Amino acid sequence: MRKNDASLAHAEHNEKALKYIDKTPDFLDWVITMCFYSSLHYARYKLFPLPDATSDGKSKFQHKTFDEYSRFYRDKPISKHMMLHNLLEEHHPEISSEYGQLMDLCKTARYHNYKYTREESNLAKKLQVKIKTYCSPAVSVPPAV
Amino acid sequence: MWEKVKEDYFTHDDLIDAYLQGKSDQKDESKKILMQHLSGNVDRATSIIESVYHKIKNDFKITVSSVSLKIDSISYFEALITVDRSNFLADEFMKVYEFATSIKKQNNNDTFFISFTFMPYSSELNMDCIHSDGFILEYAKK
Repeated sequence: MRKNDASLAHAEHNEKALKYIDKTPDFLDWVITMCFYSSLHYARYKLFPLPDATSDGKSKFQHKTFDEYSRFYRDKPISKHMMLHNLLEEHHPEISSEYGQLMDLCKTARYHNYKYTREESNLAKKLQVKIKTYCSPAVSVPPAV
Repeated sequence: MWEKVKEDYFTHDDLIDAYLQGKSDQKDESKKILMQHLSGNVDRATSIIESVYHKIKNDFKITVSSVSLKIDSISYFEALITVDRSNFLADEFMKVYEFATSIKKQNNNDTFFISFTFMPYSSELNMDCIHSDGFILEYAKK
């Protein structure tokens, strides 16, 4: 099944906004937020379509998108952010810690009155690059003529 | 002479009263079971958070400023762990996230779920905001 190109486009869109807003030090909280939401869409792109099976294992199927997945598991008592993080922990542990830290930086910005320094925003950018590099589609090299 | 027949029937009112009484008893019983379940899960969450706190402090040598707990539901708990800022910004902090993931894997199931949020310490933390988000229990360090 094909990858969800909308997730990739949204990840790149947020990344463009991030680069635009990062030119001044006035919106470092938004830099972190955009790093996170860019990463969120890269992660969704990497994860889906996701194979699944009924609890008895008899029927196998795929969730095409994260929205489909979260609708299917809507009875789980956890937030959608946590759900996505759990999926990364299960299927892509290579980037789940980076994603967790970026999510925490974004989530707790309001506890810091939205005042972050360049050190925090640089950390967020470093985490975003790692997640993007891992999740982006491999660049196909055209065959040699 | 007439003698009154022994009452071996129920009026509609009797039936409704019995239903309401039964419902109330069942409610109390269900409440009791839920409270027992909640209390057990709070103890479990506390024990897990204590072990995480000691691991971070003693093995990872990270200064932990505070640990707060939010009870989202009877089976869902969130820990907010505030650590030294320079520790949080260091590359080595990734090990703490890996450890937190392993703790979640060991403990989370359909009836119990715990998650961890880490943040850097700052002297200007907005405690009102933290409390209003539900992190109202603070771990008294032993």
